[in-house]
Amino acid sequence: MSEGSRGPSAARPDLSRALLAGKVETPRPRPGAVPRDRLVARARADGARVVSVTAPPGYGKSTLLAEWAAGEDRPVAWATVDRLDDDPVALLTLLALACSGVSPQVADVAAEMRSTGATVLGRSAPLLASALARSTTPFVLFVDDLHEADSLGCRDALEIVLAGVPEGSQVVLAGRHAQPHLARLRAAGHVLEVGPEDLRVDVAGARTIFRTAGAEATDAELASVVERCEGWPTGVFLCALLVGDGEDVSALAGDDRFVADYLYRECLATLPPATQHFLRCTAVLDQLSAPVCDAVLDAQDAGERLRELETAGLFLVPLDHHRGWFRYHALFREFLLAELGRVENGLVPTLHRRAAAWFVGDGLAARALEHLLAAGDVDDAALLAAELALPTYQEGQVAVVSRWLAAVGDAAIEACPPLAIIATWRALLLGESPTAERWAAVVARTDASGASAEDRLALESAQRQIRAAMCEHGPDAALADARFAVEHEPAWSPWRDQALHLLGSAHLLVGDVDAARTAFAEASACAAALGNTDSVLLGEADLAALAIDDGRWSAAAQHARTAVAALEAHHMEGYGTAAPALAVSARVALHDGDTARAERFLARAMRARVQCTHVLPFLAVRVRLQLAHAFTTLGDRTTALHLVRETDDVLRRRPLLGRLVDEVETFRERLEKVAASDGAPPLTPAELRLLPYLQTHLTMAEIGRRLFVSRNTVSSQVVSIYRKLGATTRGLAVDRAVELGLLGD
Amino acid sequence: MDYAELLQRLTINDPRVEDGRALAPSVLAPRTLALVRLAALVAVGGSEPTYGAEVDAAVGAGASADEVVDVLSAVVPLVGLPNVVAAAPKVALALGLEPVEGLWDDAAPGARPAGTRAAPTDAREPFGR
Repeated sequence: MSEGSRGPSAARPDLSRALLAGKVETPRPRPGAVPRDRLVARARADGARVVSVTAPPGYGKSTLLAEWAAGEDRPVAWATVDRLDDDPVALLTLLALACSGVSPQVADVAAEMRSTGATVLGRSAPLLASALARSTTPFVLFVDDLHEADSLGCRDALEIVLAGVPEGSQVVLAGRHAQPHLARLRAAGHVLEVGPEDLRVDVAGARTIFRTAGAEATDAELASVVERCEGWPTGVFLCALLVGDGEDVSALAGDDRFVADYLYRECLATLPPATQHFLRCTAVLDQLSAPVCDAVLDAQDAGERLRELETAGLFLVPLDHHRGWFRYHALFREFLLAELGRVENGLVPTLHRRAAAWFVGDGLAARALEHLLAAGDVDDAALLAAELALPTYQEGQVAVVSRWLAAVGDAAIEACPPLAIIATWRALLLGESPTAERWAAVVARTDASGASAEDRLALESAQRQIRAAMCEHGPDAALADARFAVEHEPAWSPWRDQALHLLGSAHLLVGDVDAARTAFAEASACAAALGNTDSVLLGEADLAALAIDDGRWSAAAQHARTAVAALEAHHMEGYGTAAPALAVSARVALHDGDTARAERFLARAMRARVQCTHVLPFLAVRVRLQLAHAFTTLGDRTTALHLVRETDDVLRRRPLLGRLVDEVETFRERLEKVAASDGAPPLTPAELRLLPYLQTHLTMAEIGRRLFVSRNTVSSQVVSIYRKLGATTRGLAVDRAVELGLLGD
Repeated sequence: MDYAELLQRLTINDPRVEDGRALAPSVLAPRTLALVRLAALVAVGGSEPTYGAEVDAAVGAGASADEVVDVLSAVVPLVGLPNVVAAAPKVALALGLEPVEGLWDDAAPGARPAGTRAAPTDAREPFGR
């Protein structure tokens, strides 16, 4: 893929915003659809907080929701879920965006939905739930196609969010299969279920359908159609189309998916071949518009064809009120794709490639990536991901990067050195130790002898930066590696600020404080110019720490403020790299005598430290030392000692940390002389990762499966959490945790 | 009460020391105290929550993980190896370590419990992969 504009910021943000707006726009009810007013009235009268509409495809769920939305007097929010939303962060973002229109409280927190790891269930989901709970006017939220977001993380996030729906409001969930976590709400009587039985049409409904389709049939014929289709609305509709084209009613039948295919094929056969070709080829797209269809078909008449199809009422659903974007009915699309595979199989990769090229040109990287993967161009997909990963990460959207890496697959990442480097840094910065070590090993043994001199240099610089950050061979080696990186990363390289920060860290490890200070300052300035938030957070935090060591508290306060401002502007709460900034801010607040503010910073920093593991030993130890200093000032020697113990664990695996080892020892000796305190010990990082799951009703075994630990370990950690929080039930533990700032905001 | 008098009172089970009020330890340093308590816990055989509490107290008093595990080694001749073996995984959990990989596997992560079926998925992936 060499054509098209490459710069990620050269994207057309208005297009992705337009598509997103389409997903949260309430569709107009279909004219001529079977009226469902009795069903809607029943659901509204019941007042159940959650209405679950579950039926196989083609039963008219979306139509039901649209009709309800049109007739509803409370404010209405709508969210259409698609495949790319099968990730808790994406789903939460979509729901927050949808509800922003009906609830100003939600609009305030919508930007805080991007998070990672434990922060998704620990902060974003409860934030959204409490924002919903505080909404002043009752509303109705419609979520369509929920079966597309079926991963465990999505279900957990949804469970937490649904708990926040206030009295008088309703959430209507439509999907192809039931949501398991609703079982508990059902037992409590908060769920109303609408199933296929409620959505089957009778003769009156069939009459409406036939009339809309412009077909004539007697009552007896209608009755036979309804009986043969067993009331399946799509089946009846297809029969109506065929009867309208002159087929005999008695020849048609069935509610089976495969008979639906037969009916679809019959309908398709009545269309001109050019239109059939158009339908089949454009089925590769999740969402269609005239420009993208033209690109995929290499033609110019897509606009007309789409208008034709829309007026013919053939399975096109408009996505926005401007009639710019459409999608096919899901069932019809699946049929078309099967037809495409049957009739024009060789064309499929080309179609996907054309779609990918168009989406890249218009800044919709995620979709372009999906198309490249579908075309089998895994290597091109890997290159695209490598290009777009850094800017995406710096905007606080590491979840998106994680998804791309998962979509591209390990084999492709190994084959693409730039992407392997991204995967390594992602794992390092998220504290995923085994993954980080694995990818670091892959990068270390990458052999670039076949590449150009420039590429070889870039690779070696990257390898040495990773080595410097992981610090396995001692401070002198780290210093040499960092120096090499700084010398060879050009001024415009997005990695330069990080190399500078690594240089500063290495200087600190060998004890050269002045050189470290210079390097950190340069790193921060470089990062600000390049828009790399991470290095601003780390550099300013380290500068603040050095200022505190010198007793220059006002300078420290200044640096801390810069760091926290960057953190909040780029929504990087919960990232490991945010922890040092929060810890020094706590120390500054304590120095100013503002204990309340300091405790809030400390709670945030303690949560963020979970991702500072031994794979980034400098960060892990420095952050815990800063926290321990702060807790000592607060008089909490217990927590300080527990933090020192955590540093012992880090040092056990990375013993060669130069001056840092001495710093830890000095601090430990100092603590011996401090008076003992009575406080409860802090929650360990493992317990902090588990804590958000106490907001759900998952069993210990299910939680264990999500965290990849045994059920017994989970039980023991839960008991430990209860003990430390003084709770005996999940609800009490969650309440206490929210009070302490360990959950929610 | 000096130590000799305390010993005498204990020997005769003096009512003044019966309810333990006079027995609050006051001489041992907190760290040593915590380690001593841990040794006693190994001897009587505690469960995970108690180990959690006592190990946390030890760390909070300044003991390192090395010292905590040293206690286990120290008491083997007195409480017997079986008791120490029983205590080891609980101490590991209390220190935040997974005792031994796969010690209590119910099933591999992601496996379904026996007797359930996978939820039926809809046929035909949209992209035909």
